Amino acid sequence: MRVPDKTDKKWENAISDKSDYQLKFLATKILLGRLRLTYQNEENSESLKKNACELHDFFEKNQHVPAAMEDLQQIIGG
Amino acid sequence: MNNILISIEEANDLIDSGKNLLFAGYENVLKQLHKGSWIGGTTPYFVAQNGGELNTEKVFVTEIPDYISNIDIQMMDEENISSIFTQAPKIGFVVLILPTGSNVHLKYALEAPEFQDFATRPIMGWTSAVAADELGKINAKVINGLDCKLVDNKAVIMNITLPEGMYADLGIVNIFEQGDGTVFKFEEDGFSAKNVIVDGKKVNMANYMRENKIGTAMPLVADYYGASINVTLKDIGKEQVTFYAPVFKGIEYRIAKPINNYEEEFKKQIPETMNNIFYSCNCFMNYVLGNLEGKKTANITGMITFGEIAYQLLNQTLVYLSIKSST
Repeated sequence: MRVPDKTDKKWENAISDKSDYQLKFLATKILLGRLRLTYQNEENSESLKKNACELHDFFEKNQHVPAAMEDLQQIIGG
Repeated sequence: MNNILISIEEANDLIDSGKNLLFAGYENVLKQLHKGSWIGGTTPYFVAQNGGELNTEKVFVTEIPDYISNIDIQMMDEENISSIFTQAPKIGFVVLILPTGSNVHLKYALEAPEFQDFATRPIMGWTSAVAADELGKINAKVINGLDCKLVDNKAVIMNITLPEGMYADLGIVNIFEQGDGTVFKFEEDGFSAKNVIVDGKKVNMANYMRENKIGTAMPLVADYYGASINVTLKDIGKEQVTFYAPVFKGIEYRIAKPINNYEEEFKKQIPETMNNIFYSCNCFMNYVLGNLEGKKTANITGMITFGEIAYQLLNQTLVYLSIKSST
């Protein structure tokens, strides 16, 4: 699937909401856990933007990995 | 010959034939290998073709497939290890071997999750080991086959670039899961903790562990969206508790549920269809506590290590990497 643009608000929602996912790719599990934790510890808009940006970059760099794209579908949706 | 123990002569034949290789072995064995395109680290423990064993005469070999596009070997230290994810190949993976107890090991363990581009590229590896009766007497080491120098203060890495259409899938098998007991939360990242938050109250962790008769056999387990990540307890001292991997601030940890039979648990969790493993390692604590000598971990062979790396440093975990097609 297409990776949404960095400016898409879905990235920030993925960091700030508490939704649970059944993720497949180990890197997504570890990274999302860390990014959400970092945001929880800091809880400010700058942190939200920075962590959302990291999540976007992760998926952009893993477009060739089928399990990562399945995780993206869950996290960001169609 | 792949992911098995072989003789020094067989290893040197492979090196001399120009193969790209990964080795694990006892220090005196690694010293006898010829110069070539390979990296390695010390450990005398393996779960190899005959099951778990301590072997100080043979070397564990992993052959890198001929279809790879490129390899690049580098030494890294605490000054430049933070660039490991950024410098990794866009399509491919990095094998990282850290000398246990070195500054670069401590830096990676504590700070890897903060490194730029963390987890965007697969970093798979291990921390080198020594025999139990040599602990505190000699240091664990790594070796770069290009110059064959064993060192205890630098990491060795191999960047492996795959052809378009392929990718590296890095996974873990963790036979431990969170138990139902106390939730521990830490106020700081670190290899030791004096205080811990239990049910919202700050308590001295060492005292809490003693009062509640919690020992070091079972690891602390964190749940990262379904991935159980362990931290092994090293020692419960008078004032503080120490760990073999760092705990991280804010994460919820619980002591793992007990394991009755490690060999059976690995067999249960490793599907029979999982037979295209390129590289794997498992933890010394699993080897010892699970009495894995002479036993197998399903069909996966690999070296036994003092720490496992799947993006970040792990404990008491089997880590494996498979090379797959994107289509």
